[in-house]
Amino acid sequence: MNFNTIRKTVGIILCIEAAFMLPSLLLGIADGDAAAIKGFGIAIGAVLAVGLPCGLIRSKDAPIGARDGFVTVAMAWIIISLFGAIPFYASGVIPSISNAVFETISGFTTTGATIIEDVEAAPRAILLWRSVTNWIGGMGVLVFLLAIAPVARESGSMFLLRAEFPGPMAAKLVPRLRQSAKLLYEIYIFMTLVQIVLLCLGGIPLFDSLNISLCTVSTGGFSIRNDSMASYGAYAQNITLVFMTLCSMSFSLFYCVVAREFLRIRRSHELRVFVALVLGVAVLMGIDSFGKFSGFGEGVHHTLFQVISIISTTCYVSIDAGFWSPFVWAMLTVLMITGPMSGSTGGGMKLSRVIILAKSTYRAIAKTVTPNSVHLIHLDGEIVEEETVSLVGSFAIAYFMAVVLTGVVLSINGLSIGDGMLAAISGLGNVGYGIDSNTFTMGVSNLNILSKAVLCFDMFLGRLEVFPMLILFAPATWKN
Amino acid sequence: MKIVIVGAGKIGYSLAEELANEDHDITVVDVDKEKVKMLSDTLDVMTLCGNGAAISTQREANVDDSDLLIAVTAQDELNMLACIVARKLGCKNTIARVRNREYTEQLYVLKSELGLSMTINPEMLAAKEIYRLLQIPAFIKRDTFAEGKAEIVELFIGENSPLDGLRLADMHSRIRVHVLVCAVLRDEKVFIPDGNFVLCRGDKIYVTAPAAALVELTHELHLRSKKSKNVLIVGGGRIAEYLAPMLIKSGSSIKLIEMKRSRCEYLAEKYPEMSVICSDGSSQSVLKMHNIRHMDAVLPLTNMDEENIIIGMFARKMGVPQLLTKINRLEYGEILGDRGADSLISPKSLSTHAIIRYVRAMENTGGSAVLTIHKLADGSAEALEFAVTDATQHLHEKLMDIRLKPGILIACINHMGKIIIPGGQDTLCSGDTVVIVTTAGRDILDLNDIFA
Repeated sequence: MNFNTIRKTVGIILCIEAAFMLPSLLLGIADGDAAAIKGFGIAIGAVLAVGLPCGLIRSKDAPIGARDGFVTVAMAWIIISLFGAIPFYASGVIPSISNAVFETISGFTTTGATIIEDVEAAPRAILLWRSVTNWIGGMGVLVFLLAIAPVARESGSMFLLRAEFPGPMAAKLVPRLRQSAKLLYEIYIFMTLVQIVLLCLGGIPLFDSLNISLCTVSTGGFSIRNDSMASYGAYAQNITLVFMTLCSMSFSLFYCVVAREFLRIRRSHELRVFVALVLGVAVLMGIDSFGKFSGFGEGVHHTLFQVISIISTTCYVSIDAGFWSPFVWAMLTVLMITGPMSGSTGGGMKLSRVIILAKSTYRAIAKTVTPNSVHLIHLDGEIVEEETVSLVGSFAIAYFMAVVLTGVVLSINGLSIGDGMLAAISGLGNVGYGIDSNTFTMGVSNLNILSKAVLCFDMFLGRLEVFPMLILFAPATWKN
Repeated sequence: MKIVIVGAGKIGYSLAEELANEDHDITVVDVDKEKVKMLSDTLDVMTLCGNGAAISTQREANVDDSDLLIAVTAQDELNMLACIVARKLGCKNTIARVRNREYTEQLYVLKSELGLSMTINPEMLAAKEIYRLLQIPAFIKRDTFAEGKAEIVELFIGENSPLDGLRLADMHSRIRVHVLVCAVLRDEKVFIPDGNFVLCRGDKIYVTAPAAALVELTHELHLRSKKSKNVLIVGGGRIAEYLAPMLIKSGSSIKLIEMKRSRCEYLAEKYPEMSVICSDGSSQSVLKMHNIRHMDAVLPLTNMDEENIIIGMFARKMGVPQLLTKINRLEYGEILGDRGADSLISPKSLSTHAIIRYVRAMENTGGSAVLTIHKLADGSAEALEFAVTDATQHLHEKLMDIRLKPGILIACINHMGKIIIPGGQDTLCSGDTVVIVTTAGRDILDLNDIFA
């Protein structure tokens, strides 16, 4: 294990976190909010006190291997979440440490489930920090590091990208890792800015636009209003709908547009499945809720908003959750499991994994019928390696095991296994539904500490795609 | 620069590694999935699995948008085809590895037809290197600069050498040739020495000298200066085949031991002046029988690194004065650390460096960037040649007044075709070229980077 490099990387990431806290501190000063200033003052001090020595102490650069890469990513996420909770706690907005940590993890993993009962009463600086945690978590903090720091030259940095990349097959957009990471963030920042401008043009206040945009492009779904997006009006909802859709798509597709490689977009199997799934569920929802809407246009608007909001794992709502029938929620729960395309900022299992699983199931059937037949699994016109197929299988098993086990742990609090597993699906998929919505009789803050810890672990598991977190707990990882 | 490398073998890998470290955008294409995967795990390059000579693969690798395509697969035909396709797609520069002798001969005709910018023949490079080293046996390695007018040679300080215990500042009073020690390798550590540095037995030193002064230098140091005439080659592969005519022409007497009967017959037919023996060259009794102890030089050139090393050790024990061992994995050289006076010949690294020199030259369209680069001391030091232009700082100032960054040394100045081994009174003029020696990995990209 290459502890020096891990320490150094985590140290630098903490310094980056301090930099991201700075706008909130400044906003707190501008608002003259003593609690927020105290919260962020303490937080930045603590982050720098640990981050600077860790990041600055020079050590011999050694190449990092797959194991070091995965451990670095998992450690970095856990540590920034712990430090990121300081503002919530120190400012007194969330008086319980475990709740503050839950809120931060929910933010960084882009789950967007909140513990704050009345967000409208919280200081603006705290609200901004919540949105910022969403935004950093959306594209990933290691990717950010790769984009700005010269570590990308060291061999083995590819393992960092692979550990944080959402999807089964991590690939660079351009030959150089650093350029790839930069491109990803450029697209990400560009989309954020465009959404802010569009929302402002529609008359939404700047602070609201900023927060909505940060939480939309990251598909996090924190809101600064108690009713999520419902009271913002159709224009803001439509803009948000467009950006949720865009951020459910693989960012490599946007690069293809920039690089004018339209063939690769046409070849994308995942994109077609995504469109078909969204339209299919939307039509079924429309039929199911027929007559409940005042007009066709309104029906289309709310249906699409709800479908995209769930499949992108943002979980904004435009209409009260009780409006939809149990059948609709059942379908939406399936979408929470599948999630959007790989390479997007969304959570869930990712459609490409679902496609690979479906194809490999079909192959198992075909092989039983014709024993000696040779079947290879194709995706986007390329053959998926057997190693990837088997990894996807293990991924799915681990994913469902986590759902079931979480359901069991949550049942200690008196929840039904169904509600418990729904909370697990929502946490693992980084959706954020169920925990804060009114379909749940019990808020997260009332759960026992074990349940909170398990849900936190689920959220990490979902955001880092299972393996980096599990590797952290495997004894073999810590042997030399 | 955007570079596509076809073939992820030994040369492909080390090319990708070195060029990626020089901040080029590299895409590597190979048919072997495992190799491609290994490459993308360890290096910061883009990889692609497919036939590099196929137009669809090349399109996918964006060859049309690249500055250079390097085809280094094991097959000559595929390499040439890949280059033709790349030219058709609009890639301006192509480099192909062509090893087959018959093709090499017709390349002069084909080169313009195929639109090749450069062909690389690792075995031919190795043969040329061996030939040069046989001319002055005392030098372990020779790198040329300034269009061949200056060289940096590697020397081993053995027992009884007049250099043992010599302070560098006293060197000129002791040795009448005007040369400069620009790097010293001691206990696997490299030093860029100053005047107070004291040489000692067991050091490997790197000496800059005008090409004309090399023979004189060997006299002064009481080293063997007569070229090696009686040469024993073990292994009749391609290197031996390229080397034989050069040696025959220079009047050497060659004995070649090769195992395969058919290969022996082929070589014997082609070069009747050479005595070819069909036997196992790794056997000590065979080597003894063929008078190994009276040879001027022994060249283990078989395809097995391990065998070459063992043959070399035996020859050293028998007291053979010059040893040129072919080795593909240079890592082995590090293990053999104490065998200081042996020359290791690696076709792989020779061709990698030749290609990298070409790439560097491509980048330099004027300015004072690097002209040539040579690795010294197993890659832990570099010798870089720069052109001095009007943009260079400290023009016409005496060198003794110019402060350089630590660990950097001006080894040689080529002033209007005259090689100057610099002293404190010399100056830099626009139009000169200078050779800088520095420890590796310093990122000296411009001549002005050397000034403190």
